[in-house]
Amino acid sequence: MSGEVIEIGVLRHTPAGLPVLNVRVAHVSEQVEAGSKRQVQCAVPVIMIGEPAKAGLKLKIGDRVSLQGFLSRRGLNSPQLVLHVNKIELIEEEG
Amino acid sequence: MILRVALDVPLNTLFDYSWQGSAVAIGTRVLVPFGPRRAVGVVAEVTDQSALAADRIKAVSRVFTEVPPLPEEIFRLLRFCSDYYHHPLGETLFNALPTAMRQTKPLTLPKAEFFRLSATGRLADPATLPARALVKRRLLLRLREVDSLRREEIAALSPSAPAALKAFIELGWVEECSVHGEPPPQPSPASEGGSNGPSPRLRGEVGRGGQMHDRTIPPLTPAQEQAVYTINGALDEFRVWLLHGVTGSGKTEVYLRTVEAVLQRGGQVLVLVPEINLTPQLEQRFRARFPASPPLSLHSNLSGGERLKNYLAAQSGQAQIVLGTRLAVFTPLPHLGLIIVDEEHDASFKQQEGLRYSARDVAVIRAKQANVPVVLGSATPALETWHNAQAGRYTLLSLPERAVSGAAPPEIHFIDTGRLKLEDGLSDPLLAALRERIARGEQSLVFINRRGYAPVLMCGQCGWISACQRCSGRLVAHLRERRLRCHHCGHDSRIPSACPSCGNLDLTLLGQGTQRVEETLERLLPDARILRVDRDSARRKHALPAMLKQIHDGEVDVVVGTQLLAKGHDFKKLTLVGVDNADGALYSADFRAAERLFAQLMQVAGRAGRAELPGEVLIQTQFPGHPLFMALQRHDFPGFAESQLAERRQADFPPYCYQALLRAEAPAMEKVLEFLRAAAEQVSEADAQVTVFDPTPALMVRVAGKERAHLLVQSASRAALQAFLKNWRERLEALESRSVRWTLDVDPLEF
Repeated sequence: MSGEVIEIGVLRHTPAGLPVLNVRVAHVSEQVEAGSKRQVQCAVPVIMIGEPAKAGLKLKIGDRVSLQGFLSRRGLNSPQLVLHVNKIELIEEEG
Repeated sequence: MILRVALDVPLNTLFDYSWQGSAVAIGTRVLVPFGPRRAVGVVAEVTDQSALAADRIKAVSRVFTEVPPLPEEIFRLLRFCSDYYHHPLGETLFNALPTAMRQTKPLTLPKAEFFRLSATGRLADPATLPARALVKRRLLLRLREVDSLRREEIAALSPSAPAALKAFIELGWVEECSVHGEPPPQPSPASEGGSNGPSPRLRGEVGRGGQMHDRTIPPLTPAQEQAVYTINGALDEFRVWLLHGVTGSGKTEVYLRTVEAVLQRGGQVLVLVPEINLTPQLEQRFRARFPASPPLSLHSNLSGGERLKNYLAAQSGQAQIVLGTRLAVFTPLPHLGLIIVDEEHDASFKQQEGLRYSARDVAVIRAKQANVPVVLGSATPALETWHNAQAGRYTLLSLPERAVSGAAPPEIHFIDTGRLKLEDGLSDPLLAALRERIARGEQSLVFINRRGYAPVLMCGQCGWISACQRCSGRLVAHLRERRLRCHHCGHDSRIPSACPSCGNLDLTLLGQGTQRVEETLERLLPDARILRVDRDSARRKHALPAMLKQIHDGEVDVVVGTQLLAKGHDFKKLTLVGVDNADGALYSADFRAAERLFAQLMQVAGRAGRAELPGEVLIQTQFPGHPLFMALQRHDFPGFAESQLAERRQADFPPYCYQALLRAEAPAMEKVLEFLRAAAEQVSEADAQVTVFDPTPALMVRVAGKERAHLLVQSASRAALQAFLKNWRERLEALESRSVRWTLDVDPLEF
C-alpha cells in the first residue's frame, strides 16, 4: 500500500535489541469495486522492525511512502490489524 | 592403637584404622586409604579394639600435625549438631572446617601478608645502615612512614627488597602483622561525614581499658546504657539476651561496649552477621574502636589461604574478635567470652544445604556449652526468639528510641496503587517525593526486591512466556546483558530475538526489576544521579564498597536497590525510602511470609532519616489497610508479633510446635511421592506424640530439573520429635530410594 505518513512514534527496541518504529500512514486512493470507481480512505497502523525501522527513522510527517509487508493482529486480546513492513520506499518527500 | 576416624562421606559412622606411631589426640587430621583413593579424616575416637577383624583394618597413611587438633569444645558442638540435625558426624565436621583443611595434603600455612616495624625496629636509625645498603634504607624509611606494608608493596620497592625484609625480620626490626594498618575512613554516626582526615587510630587516645579509644565514641542513650549495664553485669555465665532495638537505635554501639568489657577480661568475642556484605562496614566500626585488637573476618568470600589464616589465628587465641557469617559459628575460640548474633532473625543464618543448621541456634547452644552470654540483636526478632523472650527463657532488652537525639522513626505512608496509574511501576506521589528530595539535596532509596529488568518476557501475539525449562520459575530478563536468567537454577541464555513459539519479533517485557526502575528513573528524573545496587551491579569484587562510598559521599541522589541495601547501612542524607509493590508476600502459602515481609519493610524503612533529617517511607500497595501495614505504620513490632503469635498458636505452627521436614527430590514427581509415602509408613504407633502430615509438593516444585516434595512432621515436644527423628532416619536409610535424593531439615524455614 501507499500513503502519507501522519504519525511517527518514538524509536524503541525489542528485548533482543532490534529497533522498532510505529507509524501511521493515511492512504487515499481510487479503486474499482463491482465495476464502479470509488474513493478509498483509511489510516493504517504500521510497525517496522529491524532494517525497515532504521529506514523509517528518516521519515517526516507528510512524506509519501510505498509499503510492502503483511497484516497481523495487534495482540492476543486485540483483533485490530497492524501492517508489518518488510520494504519501505519513499515516493515523495514532504513539501 | 585404633583410630576411629570421621570422613567426609554421607554415612553416619566412624571408620576404624590402625596406627603404630605415637599418641594421637582427638581432633587431629589424618590421611587414610578409603576405597581406591585416599581421604582426609578427623580422629573422633582413640581406642584399643575394633569390631572389625584385624586383617580388614587398614593403617592410617599419615598424621598431620602442622596445626593443633580440633579442640574438644568444637568437637562437642559438632557432635551436638550431628545429633540434633541428624546429619552424619563426618560431613558435619568437614562442613565446619576451612576448605584448606579438607585437602588430602599437609597444610601450607599461609605466608604473612603484612609487615610492620617492631618496637626495636622503630628505634633503629637508618643512618646506622651501611651507605651502600640503599634498598634497606628505603624499606626502613618506607616502613616508618606507614603503619604496615603488604608483601607485594615491599616487593614493588625493589627486586632486592624481599631480601632486605628477610634481613630485618632476622634482626627483629620487622614483625608480621595480620591486618593492614589504615582502614579507609568511614563516616560513623558522630563524625563529620566522609572527610579524608587522619585515621581513627591517629585521632585516638588511650582509654581506661588500655584500648586505644576513638574520640568520636557517641554518648549512650538511657536505654543503651541500661542494656550495656545489664549485659556487662552478667558476663560470667550463660545468658541469652534479646536486644530488641528499633532501626537506628544503636544496637552496634551496645555490642561495642559489651565487646570492650569482654576484651578487658581477656576474652574472645564471636560476632555473627547474616551477610558478607555487612562485614566490611561492621569491621570498620570495630577496627576504629579496637585498633589494638582488630577483628578478623571469616566468611566464604575469603580466599582459602586467608580463611585458614584467620581460622588459625582464632584457634590460637591471637585474634580477639572474630566477625563472620554463619560458618564462623564453628570457629575454635579458646577464650570465648561472648557471642553476638546481629540481625538474628535473618534467614541467611540458616544453611539450606548439607548440614541444614541455624547458626543463631547453634550460637545459643555454643554459648550454653561454653557458659558465656550470647546477645541476639534485631529490630524485628524472629517470632521463635520473641516467643522465647516472652516465655522468660531469653531476657529482653529494649532500645525503643533512635540513638541520634532528635532522630524520630520515619513516617510511613501508603500509596494505593489500586487507584493510581503507574508509570512503569512508579506512582506520581512517589515521583513527586523523589523530586522534592533531589531539590533539597537529600538522598532517596527506591527499594524493589527483584533484580534484573523484568521478571517475565512474553509474546503478546501468542501468549508464550519465558518459563525455565528446568524449574517452575520464570526466566528473568536482564536487558543490559541481553540475557534471560533463571534465579533458581542459574540457567542463562540470550534473549531470543523472536518468540520461540510463533516467531513474533516484538516481544514484551512484563513487570519491574531493578534495571527497569533505574531506566525509568533516568528517563523521568533526567538531572538526578541514579545508582543501582543489586547483586548484579555488586558482582565484581570491591564493587559494593565503592558504591556504598559513593552514596556516603553524596555522589548519588537516588539509589535503586534490593535487599542488599536493606540492612545495617547508615546513610545520613537518606530521607526517603520508596517501596515498589511488596504485596506478593501477603498472599503467600508460606506461614512465615508475613513475618519476613514485616521484617524486610521495617528494615528498609529504617534506612530513612537515621540522622538529624526526618525520614519518610512511601509504600506502594494495593492493600493500604492491611493489618500488617497498619502495625508497620505504628512501628509496632510487639503488636505485630502478638497477632502473629496468636495466629500461630491457633494453627499450631512454630513456635508452638517443633517441625522437621523430610525433603525429597527426583527427576519425576511420582518417584518422590512414592518415596515419601513409604517414609510416612515407617512411623510406628509408639510415635504418638508426633504428627506426620501427607506428602506435599514444594512451593517451588521444579528446580534445576528435579521435582521436589516434602513430608512435614511435627510435635509439641522437641524431645519427642528428636527421639522420633533418630529412629525414623535409620529406617529411612534402609528404604529403597533409587533415584530419590532426600534430606532431613530440622526446624525448617522454607517449604
